[in-house]
Amino acid sequence: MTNILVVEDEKNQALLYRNELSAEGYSVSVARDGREAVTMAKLNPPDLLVLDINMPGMDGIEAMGKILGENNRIPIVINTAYSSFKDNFMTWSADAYIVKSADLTELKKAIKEILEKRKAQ
Amino acid sequence: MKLVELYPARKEVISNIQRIISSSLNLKDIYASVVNELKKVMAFDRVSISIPIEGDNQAITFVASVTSTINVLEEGKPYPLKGSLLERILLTGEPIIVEDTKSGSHSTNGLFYKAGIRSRLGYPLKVRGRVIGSINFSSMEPNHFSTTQFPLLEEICPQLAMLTENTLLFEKVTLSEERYKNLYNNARLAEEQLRQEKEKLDYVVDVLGIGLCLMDRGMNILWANANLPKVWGLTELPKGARCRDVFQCTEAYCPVARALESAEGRYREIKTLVRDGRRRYIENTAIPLQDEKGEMGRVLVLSRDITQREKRLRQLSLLRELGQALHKTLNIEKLLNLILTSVTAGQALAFNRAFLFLVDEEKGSVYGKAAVGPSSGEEAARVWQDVSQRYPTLEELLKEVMEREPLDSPLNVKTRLLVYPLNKEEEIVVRCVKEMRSQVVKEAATDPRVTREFREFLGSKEFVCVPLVVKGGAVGVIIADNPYSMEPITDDHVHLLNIFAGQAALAMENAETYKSLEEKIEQLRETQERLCRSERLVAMGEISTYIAHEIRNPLVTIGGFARSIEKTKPEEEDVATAARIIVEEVSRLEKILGNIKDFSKPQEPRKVRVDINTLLEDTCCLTEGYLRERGINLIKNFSPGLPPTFLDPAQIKQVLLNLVKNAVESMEEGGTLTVQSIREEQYIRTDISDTGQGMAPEVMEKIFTPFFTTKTSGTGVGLVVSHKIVDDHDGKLRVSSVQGRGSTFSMLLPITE
Repeated sequence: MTNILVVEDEKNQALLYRNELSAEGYSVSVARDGREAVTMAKLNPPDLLVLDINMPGMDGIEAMGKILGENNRIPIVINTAYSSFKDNFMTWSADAYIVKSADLTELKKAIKEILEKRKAQ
Repeated sequence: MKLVELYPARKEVISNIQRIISSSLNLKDIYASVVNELKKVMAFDRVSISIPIEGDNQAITFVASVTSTINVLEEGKPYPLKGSLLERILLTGEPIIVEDTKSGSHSTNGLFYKAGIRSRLGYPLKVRGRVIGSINFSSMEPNHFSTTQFPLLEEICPQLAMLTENTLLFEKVTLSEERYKNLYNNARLAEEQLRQEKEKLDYVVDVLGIGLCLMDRGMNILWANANLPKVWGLTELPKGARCRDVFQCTEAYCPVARALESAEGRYREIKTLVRDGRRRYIENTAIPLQDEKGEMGRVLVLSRDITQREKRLRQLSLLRELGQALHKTLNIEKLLNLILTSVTAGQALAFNRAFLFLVDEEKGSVYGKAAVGPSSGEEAARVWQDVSQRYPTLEELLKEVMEREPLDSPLNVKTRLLVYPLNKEEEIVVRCVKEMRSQVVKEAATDPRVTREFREFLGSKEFVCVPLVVKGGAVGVIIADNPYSMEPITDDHVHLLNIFAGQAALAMENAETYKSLEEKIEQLRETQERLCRSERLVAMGEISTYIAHEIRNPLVTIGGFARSIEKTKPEEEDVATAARIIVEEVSRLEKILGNIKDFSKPQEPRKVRVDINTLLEDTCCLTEGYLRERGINLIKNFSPGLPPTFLDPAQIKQVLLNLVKNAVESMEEGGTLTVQSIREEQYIRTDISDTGQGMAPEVMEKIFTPFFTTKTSGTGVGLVVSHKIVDDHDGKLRVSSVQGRGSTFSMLLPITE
């Protein structure tokens, strides 16, 4: 079963992702901040990372760096309320950007495409 | 000798004497002849004739005969009348006999006695009963004379008296005549001198061209010299005319009135009048004079045509004054108008017309910019008179020009239609610009420098063309001529205009510099405004982005769960409708949020035209300190003359920094970094080479994979990002490496037209 790690600090939203992505047939785990995400990824490396890059504590980008430092093959989807790209080139290495929306169709579509691409390689 | 015996002899003597007297001998000869006759009938030792000097208490003696050496009363020498025998005779009119000088009462007796004369006889010489003198006989014997001699003397004395009188009168007349003659001669000499003086004066007055006239208290002209009509251009001598009719006076200032008022000093004014189309300056000097009663009721007025002198004098102060005026404005249009006015103002360079042509470097042409001057002779006369009256000083005129908008005269419009390409060197305007030398044309019709077109435009026979030169280049040309006054253009005029043109060119340069400075300042102000505006926008953007983010997150949750409910297809209609409404409303809100632009999204590369070498130089500058710290040599090897490329300088610099950083990190022991730029077909290639450890082939395969790194620190995205940037520029990023020798990263950017 495909394992997706969602990094999201808002617990209601996290619950939404868990419900919706689970309904899509993924195994979903949720990290509440970057630090937790790094630990969880280390214990159980996910097949894909959905990352909110504007979180308290360790920033998503920093977390991304740490996680990928361990395993640079994990595909990343940046899911953001779009205000924190700044000029950080790091974000450019993500596999997809998704602007947060109540309609999760786009997110689900991106996840599906990336995973299919990986499977093909 | 008895008188009776003497009678016949006496008769003869008398007639002889009468004959002698009627002869025309001179007085002395007559006396001598008379005495000789008398001697025939009378005995005496001395005879003399004494005559009083008119208006003087003296007498004079003519000695007619002396027998011995009697020395008394020197002949011709005046002696005092008082106490003399003559005085007595003059008083009484009677003869006197002095019997003995020893005891005589007359003052002269003493003198005669000393001289050996003892007796005397004085007989009056009368003319028409008036005593004019006396005849005096002297003898060395006392009591020698008696009244018996009286009848004889009675006979001859009246004639002797008449003769003496006549002779004296004649002498007087000759004397006067002589004196008159002298006087006459002197007068003639004086007259001659006077005439010469007058001639000299006339000559001076004439040469100086001074018009003179004398005025009375009522300021009427009493007298005028021939120069006056010439100076003032009158047809006849203005005798009896009123001063102000002749001198075309205005009420403002009258030197004649001043002179009459103060009765001393000199009062000047300078008048401008136009004659035969020429401006003339006439200086009037009024000098108060006395009239025939000795009162200061006359005024002498000297009128001098000082046009030439005035022009010269003014030229000197003029250039200074104009120079100052030209620096009073930095407005180029006003300045040009000021320049042209200065060329044509009577108080300034006094040309009839002036044309200004300017060089347009961009268009490669010389074009007519403006012109000042009347369109016809009549207009000229009217305008000049008007201007000289309204603006008596240049300062006032120029001040007016500064304040007034230039009028669009027909001449001005005509001038602005002229444009000559800078390569059309047969045009005198172009030639003047090219040669930067003034051109004086005396005969436009035959001068090869003047084209037909230009000749027809200008319409004048003679003109001058001077360049406006600044910093060794001509920015324009001034053309000036005198078609109305027909005044010839002299070297002086040209010289003056040249100097003025130099000043004008400088002033124009100043104004142009100021104008471009003003434009720059305006640009700066606009930029600043834009900046402020965009700063506000950015601030607004940041706030709205923040709010959007804060709202979007709960909206995602709300809407997301509403969708979840919808998907469960609830049986209760109310629940399904409520969920649908939430979903709809949330997506409406999300759409609104989507319209709020995120200013901090990663942007498309902003490409500008850049010289790659400059960018490389910048990058090297940034890293020099960093390289030195690590003991790394930097070699720069930039190919010159590379075509510019379109790129986003910030992004490409980021790539270069990444590559340099990588290279440095591979040279832990120090080494050499080479940065090189070169053209490779349609690309510009930049090589960054290090002398580090190099890479193994399996490492090289992975270097562009995200988050791949061989280093203990770092994220492994540097090369990935660099690759993406170069990709966005339609370029290529290549790598070659030899293990143990070093690596070279090559960035190829396309050359775009």
